[in-house]
Amino acid sequence: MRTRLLAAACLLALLGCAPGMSPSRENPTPSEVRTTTNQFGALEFSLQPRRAIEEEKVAEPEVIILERLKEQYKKPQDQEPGPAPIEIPRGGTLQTRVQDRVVPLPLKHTDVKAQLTLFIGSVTVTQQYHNPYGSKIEAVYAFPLPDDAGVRDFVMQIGERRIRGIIREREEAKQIYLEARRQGHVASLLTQDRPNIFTQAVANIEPGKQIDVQITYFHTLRYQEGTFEFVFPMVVGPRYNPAGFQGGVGAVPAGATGSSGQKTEVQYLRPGEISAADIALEVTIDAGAEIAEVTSPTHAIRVDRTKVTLSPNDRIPNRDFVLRYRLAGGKIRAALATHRDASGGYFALMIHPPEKLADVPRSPREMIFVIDCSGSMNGRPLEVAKRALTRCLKRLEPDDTFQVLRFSDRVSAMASAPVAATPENVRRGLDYVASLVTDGGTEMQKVVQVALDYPVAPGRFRIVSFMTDGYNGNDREVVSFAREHLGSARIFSFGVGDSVNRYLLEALARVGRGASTFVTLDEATERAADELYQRIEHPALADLRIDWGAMNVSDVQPQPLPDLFVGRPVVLCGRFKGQGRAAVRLSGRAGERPVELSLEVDLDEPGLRHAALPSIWARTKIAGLHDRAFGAPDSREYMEEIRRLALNYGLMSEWTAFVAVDSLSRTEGSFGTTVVQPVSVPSGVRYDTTVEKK
Amino acid sequence: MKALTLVLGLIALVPAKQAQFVAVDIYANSDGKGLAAWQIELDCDPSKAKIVGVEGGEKPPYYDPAALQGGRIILASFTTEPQPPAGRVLVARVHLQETGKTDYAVKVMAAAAPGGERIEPTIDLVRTGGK
Repeated sequence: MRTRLLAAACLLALLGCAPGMSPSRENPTPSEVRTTTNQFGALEFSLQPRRAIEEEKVAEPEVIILERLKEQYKKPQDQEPGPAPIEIPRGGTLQTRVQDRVVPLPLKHTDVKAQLTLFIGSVTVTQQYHNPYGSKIEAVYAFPLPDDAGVRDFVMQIGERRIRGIIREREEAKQIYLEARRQGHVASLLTQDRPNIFTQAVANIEPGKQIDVQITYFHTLRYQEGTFEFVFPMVVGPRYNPAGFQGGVGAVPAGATGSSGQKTEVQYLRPGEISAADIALEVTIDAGAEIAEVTSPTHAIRVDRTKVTLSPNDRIPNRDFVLRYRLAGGKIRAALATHRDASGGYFALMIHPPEKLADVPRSPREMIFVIDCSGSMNGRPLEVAKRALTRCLKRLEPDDTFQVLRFSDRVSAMASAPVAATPENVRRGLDYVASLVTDGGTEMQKVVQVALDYPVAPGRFRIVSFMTDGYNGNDREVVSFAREHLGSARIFSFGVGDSVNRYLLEALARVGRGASTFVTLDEATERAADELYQRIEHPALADLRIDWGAMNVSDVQPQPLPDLFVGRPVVLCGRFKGQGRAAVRLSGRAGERPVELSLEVDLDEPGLRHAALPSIWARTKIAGLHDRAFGAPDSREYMEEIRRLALNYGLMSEWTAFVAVDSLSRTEGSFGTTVVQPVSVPSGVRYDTTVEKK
Repeated sequence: MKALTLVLGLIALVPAKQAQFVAVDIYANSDGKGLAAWQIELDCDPSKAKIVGVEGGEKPPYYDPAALQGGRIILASFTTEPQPPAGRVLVARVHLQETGKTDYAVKVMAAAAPGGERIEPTIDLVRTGGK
């Protein structure tokens, strides 16, 4: 039997067709930054023309703002961040189901199975669609996947029959789907609207029938401080789109199709409504070493040695699932994974920062803290962000300077320019943070410009930290804007919430050559704030150069190579031609000190093979191209390169799509009614400040 | 290459006035030997037919996405069953959108019996659906 298995595997490897085996293979241009002073001496910034500023003032009566701020100032200031309050599970309970009205919808159930091997996750998501109505429907569902997911496989199941979808250019796939839908064939189309937002359409589901769609993706896991983190997003948060912008992601009430005017739209259930759709999740961990601890800060889980499942009482898909596990001894089994096929070799290498980084003295910092005070942060998200920011302010060193910027659809600042971190100024900063309230939409581009366009004081290193849920529809444009305005600064993003826009936060950190940190609403804020601060507090290993030696490496991703921060390894992917053992030498600079590292790798080590590496390499390369595509004058070239890569590696992208048609099943009549699957707003997010603003 | 078998499946089609969806069933006959692994290439005129799905068994055959760009599809599958099916076996069903008259050609690139022994199955195609 073993011989047979090996023979089959070898044969398929020769054939090069097994899964994962590779083939032969506008921004508004603000003309000026205007500043005004509010009643507390804080500066307000606007990138809008003068007329818009005047209109804004009319729309926001000054008296109301003053009263709100006064109320805030009455609150106890400089509160010590205590432990997170104990809350009844917010994900929904049986009681909630009884009280809320269950809306009949096409999505019945989602089943997630993840296999975590080394630092690579292979995840299969099965969505079960059914037709609870009396006539034929088309089901449409916008859902999230991780922003770095390389979606590689798509299978539509009708009864016992399984049809593997075909990767095509997006428009071509769409036309095939529309024609199949028109002719009454059961068909499905998977498109990507953002790196982390996908739309599934299933046509011609007859009454009482069920059609399953199975999506498989790969990605690398976060690993820091000896802990792996696996995240599965479950709901797209409601995005805000700047006035006049139409390429965003709209948030509309259930049934209000097209009312946002945005290219992509997510519909949300109203308060008191609930979908019967639930989710099951099973994660198998193959770490190659004993697992010392498995935890989830977001969900109730059951752990059976290496298998983790969601508790049956915690299956409402209204927040990200986060799973963390730590290996006994704190060391991972291996840092290198390889794969070879007909097109050559692929590798992923986890590079750990040198421990001595923590001993290198840091240069004075100019800290720009940016806090999101838009409507989606109303309530607990803003509380958590304020606690994190408070903790950061208290950790400033006397020779640092700092500034606090708040933003919604307007920007205001604690001071006219960054100030020295004297005890008085820190106190002023704490007071300012305590006074913040939510108000308005999430127009992030303004604050990105303000934060990055201050003249940098000589001898200082600027670090900009964005604390936000990232719920803005023009996220791609914000990332592009940040990349263009970065200068010598570094961006550290700090995601706050249970279903944050991880694409925006990760991409800001990526183009900003910094790092990202996330805190969910039930977690101890201190952990995340300390994690952020640890990255900032010590110099990074910058200007990284790598001599790959006998590995004979090409096309290493991501580019440019990221800096290495204390406690946070990075994963580099690339292609190689070498064999056997090789020495890899890294050099860089920590502050003013040169730093060198070396590690030995064995390219022929049989235990470290992973067939997903071609997909992961191509997906990482696509992410870098995507960051550069928006706002670039030669964006068409980037998009064409993404399209070519995605088609060659069978990957989803914004310019490719999966389509599957069952030519043998043809239903009668027209394709029926299109039913868009609405979702709950994420836990911790208010419907009335995001979807239907009151 | 001895193991390479080329079979042309010439299928007469009625002229298609509008796009229609059809299935092409690919049968392999390994002359009594179990078919454990195989790789097949299906060619058609890409201006007349587009592949829109691949079906076959619990795990539909995998395809090479790069080859697909040239208007052909390279399919592969394997089983670890100790006694895989023998005789004339439906190995894959390819769903296509036809927009004109086209012929289909199929060739076996490789095939193996349990244990890895190379075999040379014969292939035939059956087109269903459409007009």
